[in-house]
Amino acid sequence: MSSTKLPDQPNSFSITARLVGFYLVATLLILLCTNWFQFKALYKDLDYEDNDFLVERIGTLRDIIARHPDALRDQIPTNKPGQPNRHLVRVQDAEGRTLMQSPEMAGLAVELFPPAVTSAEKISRGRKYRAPDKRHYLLNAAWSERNGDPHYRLIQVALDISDEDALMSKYLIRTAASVATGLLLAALLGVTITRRGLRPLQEMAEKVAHITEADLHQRIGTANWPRELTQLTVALDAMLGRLEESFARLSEFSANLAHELRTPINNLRGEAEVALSRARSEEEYRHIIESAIEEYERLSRMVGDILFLARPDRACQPVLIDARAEVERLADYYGNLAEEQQTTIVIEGDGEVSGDANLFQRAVGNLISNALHYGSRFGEIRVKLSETGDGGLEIAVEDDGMGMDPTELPRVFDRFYRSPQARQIYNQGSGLGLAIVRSIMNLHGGTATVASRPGAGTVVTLRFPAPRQRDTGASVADT
Amino acid sequence: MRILIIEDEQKAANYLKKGLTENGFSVDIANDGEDGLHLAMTEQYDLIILDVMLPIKGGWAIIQELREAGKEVPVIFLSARDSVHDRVHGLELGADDYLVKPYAFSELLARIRIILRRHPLQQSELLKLADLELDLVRHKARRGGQTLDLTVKEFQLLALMLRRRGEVLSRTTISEQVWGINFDSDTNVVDVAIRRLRKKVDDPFTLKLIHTIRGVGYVIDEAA
Repeated sequence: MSSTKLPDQPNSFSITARLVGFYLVATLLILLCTNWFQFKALYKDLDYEDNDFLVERIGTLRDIIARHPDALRDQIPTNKPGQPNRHLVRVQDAEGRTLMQSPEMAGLAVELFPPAVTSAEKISRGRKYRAPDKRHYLLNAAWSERNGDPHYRLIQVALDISDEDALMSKYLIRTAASVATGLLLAALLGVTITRRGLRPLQEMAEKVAHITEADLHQRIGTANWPRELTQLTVALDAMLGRLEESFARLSEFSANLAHELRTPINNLRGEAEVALSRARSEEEYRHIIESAIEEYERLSRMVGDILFLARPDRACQPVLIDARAEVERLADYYGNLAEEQQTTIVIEGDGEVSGDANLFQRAVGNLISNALHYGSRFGEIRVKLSETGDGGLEIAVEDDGMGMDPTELPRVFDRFYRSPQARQIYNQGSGLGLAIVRSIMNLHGGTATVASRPGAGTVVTLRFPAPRQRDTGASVADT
Repeated sequence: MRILIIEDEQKAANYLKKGLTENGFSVDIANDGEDGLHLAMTEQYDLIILDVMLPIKGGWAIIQELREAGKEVPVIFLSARDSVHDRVHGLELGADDYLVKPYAFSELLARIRIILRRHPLQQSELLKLADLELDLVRHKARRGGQTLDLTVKEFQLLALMLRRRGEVLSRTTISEQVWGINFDSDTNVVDVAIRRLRKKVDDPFTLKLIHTIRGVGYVIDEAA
């Protein structure tokens, strides 16, 4: 009972694993988004600055060509030892002859550059080019004018942006590392947070695990638990309540059962002992054995009934039953008995129910037999069949007997319950008849209720739900 | 007629043997499944009475091995397990009948006789016993030349008893066969019906035909 071993179900999942999974996905998305934006921004900034630089260079070179052509040579960057030139320049005349250029410019063919624009037009963004030696350049070109000739000189500029590539990839690696670290932290935090968050559940499980049948009166209570668990605690407490009630009924049932079994066993034993205490005539022995067989009969019927009640999950094969015909069969069966008591059995109405034919017979039979035992003599027993509003059938068995005390009504369906008057009138009953009726009704998804007025009679009503479409239409054949 | 009883409960095996021997059968007893199966395989029996729960080898296994070996000897299961599933399982394995403990010995005897009856019941049109005659076609009952005025159910009841003359019929059997009532009613409906039938069939005559076996049921025969 108090074992807390968790069964390993193939389709079970761990809340912790799930939540941590969600945390990780969320963290990953956030980190990726922010880093991607930063990366993009950095890239854009660099790009913008590079283009700006080239446009600025072109502007400077145009000024120089227009106003100080002699100073142009100083503006052509050349390879100085120890520091690679970040930008290169080439100047051509209108016919495409190269007038001057930086040494590395030789590796960059004229055609690679974007088409040059005149000063009247806006210089567009440069073109990127990856040279065979893996170096990366930003290229741009423009015409510079002089004395009204817009195509006086062609200026081509190239910026070596290989360093930026390295910078960007270093940045990427750093970003990846930070994302990984972030994820790891998120996982650790996630596990810790979830564990802490779920601790009340664990505590509750421990508490529930310690409840045994001896302290079913315990309740978990909603006060000490987080609000989110209220539903669970309420449900668990309700379950404990039901269990407690069942246990109480069960122990009462066991007590009654022991008592009911004691009586016939006591009779058997007593008769047998007395019989053996001295020699008897054959006739006497015969009587003792016959009496014993009657007690056995009682015992085995009781055991049968108890087993019937102990199996709430009995399978029943529902068929469509002609209730009227079945009740008539029962009336026919009990007819002789009724006649002897000057009682008539009157049947009114008709209808169909879907159910197990034997069980239906047993339920209604028990009611008729009760009415015969406890109903009045010189009276009548009415069995009324009527349709209910929802297509079901109601079967009311009414007698005009002594009736019952209102205080007893709630208990009549209890197993072994027998009222003091009932015991006086008919002491052969087992007290299981109505319990069996109720159990049969539960099995059919119906109900059994009782109403009574002392001195005026009792009526027990069975309500069967409407037959479902899928039930076979085979009516019970006459046996 | 040889019957083999495979039953580990010594008391039960003994009274079964006694009862069956007194009814003209020769009976062998095995107290566990292995001995039982060995006997069933090597000897010739007309019927085997088999308990489901047995030491060493259970009843289910025994009947399976018997049937696999091609032994078609009739088998009646006796078991305290009365779930529909067990019953169906027993019959599916090739049992001829399945009785739930506690059962009435008369019931077991009746079922043994039904199984061992080589020919089905004579569905003759005229049932006779001493000077009692039942004409099933015209629905007429006569005794000593006088017509008996029986109700439909009384006629059915008398016909049932005559067809199974000499067999003790339990109240349950009578309720089932005559009224189609399939549950054990704790009322004395059957007793009342028999009493009324006696009034018409036996009371006016010296030779009584309907006999009560107290606690067991009723039987019709010339001698008690």
